[in-house]
Amino acid sequence: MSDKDADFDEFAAGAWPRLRRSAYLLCGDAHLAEDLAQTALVRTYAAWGRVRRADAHAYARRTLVNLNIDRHRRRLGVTEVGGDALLGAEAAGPAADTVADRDEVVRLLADLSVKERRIVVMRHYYDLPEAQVAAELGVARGTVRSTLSRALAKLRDGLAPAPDPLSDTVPDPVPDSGRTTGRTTR
Amino acid sequence: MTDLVERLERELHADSPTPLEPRRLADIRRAGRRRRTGHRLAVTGASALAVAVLVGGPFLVLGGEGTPVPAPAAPSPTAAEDPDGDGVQASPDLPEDLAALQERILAEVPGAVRTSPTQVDLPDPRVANPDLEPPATGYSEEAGRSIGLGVANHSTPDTFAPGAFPDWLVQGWRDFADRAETSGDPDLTALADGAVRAEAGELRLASSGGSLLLLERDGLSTRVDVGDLADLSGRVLDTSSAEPPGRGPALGLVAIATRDGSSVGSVTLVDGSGARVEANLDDTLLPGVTLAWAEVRGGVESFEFAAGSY
Repeated sequence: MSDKDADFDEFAAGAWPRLRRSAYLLCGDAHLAEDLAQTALVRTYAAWGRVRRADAHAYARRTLVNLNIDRHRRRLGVTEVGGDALLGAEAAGPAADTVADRDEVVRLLADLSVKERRIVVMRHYYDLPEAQVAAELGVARGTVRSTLSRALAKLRDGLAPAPDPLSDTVPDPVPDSGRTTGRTTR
Repeated sequence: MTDLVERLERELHADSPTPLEPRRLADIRRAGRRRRTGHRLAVTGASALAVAVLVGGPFLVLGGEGTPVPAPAAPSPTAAEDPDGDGVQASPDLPEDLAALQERILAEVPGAVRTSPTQVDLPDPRVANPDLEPPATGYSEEAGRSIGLGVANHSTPDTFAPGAFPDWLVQGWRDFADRAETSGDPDLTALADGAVRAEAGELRLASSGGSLLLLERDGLSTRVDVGDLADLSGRVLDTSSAEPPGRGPALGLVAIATRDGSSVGSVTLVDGSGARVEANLDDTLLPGVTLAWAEVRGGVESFEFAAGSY
């Protein structure tokens, strides 16, 4: 095995869990997520000579996100922005699974629009700064911020902490930051 | 909010990491080598397809209500009359089965045109046969009133109602698309996005329960999130884009509500490259809200509007 392949193998083994997990968060289907992660690594390997000295993790991540965007574009003249269309497309696909089989957080993410889900994963799973999310998606930083705000407002109820059965105290309510939809400042 | 973010990040990372199996790693390297070797050839086709898709969707004026049968288009020549389409040649790199299917379509389907080296477009089948059912289930959520955006929607032949196209065409396309899907080859997958596609009417917007629905005539509809229209707290409502940014022309849509209810006279959308596009306007679909849309590249970066009526 060449040094190049050995380098890639080490990278791929390390990158695989995060790629697979983030693909699952984006698409909500475990089998499809593995396919997306694998394809992202195939493309990274194909470009290894070019990317390994740079940021291979970023290259693989961007490839994965773009693959998922391409998936949404399939057979459509335009791409959906809402979760409704995503659910419809998944229901029609052979690999559709049931909501009950999914992680709770994936079920919650399914209620977000595709764009919101993508930005949540990039910001809060990959921990990318807003500016980098904006740069990678080609949108304004304010768009990232407003989209995140909208997404978090939608996720708030589902992520409410379970009450502690051993405690008499009522959990502090999650502060209501006000409705964040329907407002964009420019 | 900090607690919420912490809980979200905890949930997002709650996973039992599955190691990359040696067999899968070997598959990845093998496929990567294949891709590297064939990259130049494959990229030619994929790029051409992208260009064809990007230039698709002529931008027209605001349409009327309902789901009208499209007006008959000017007769298009068959391949026998115009074997080269508009002078566009098929890519020699097309997969054999797809190339054969496209050639047969050009030879036998009136109005079929090669629009790029990798793409053949079919006319809306309802032009030739107005009695046909709309593709698939038609507009899936025709909720209340809707307006046409004058932006063409396209879909692959297998999404249309039975009988819209010859069986050999639909089956041939389905066979290719299935093969592409299961191949794991991203370049084949790119071709399956629309190497054969048909016009499927125009995109429409409908209002439903205080939000907007982007209607596509292929059985799917898209909810355009503009928030709760009953809770306007600023002049500008929101912006939405019907296509991921940076991926070519998209339907850029802006909804504008003024505090004092004054009307909006004109709207200019600015895309990611700084190009400015005069938007079409509608203030009838949502009371008190002016909708402005146009095809833009890379999503709506910003916009300007002027007061007054249009």
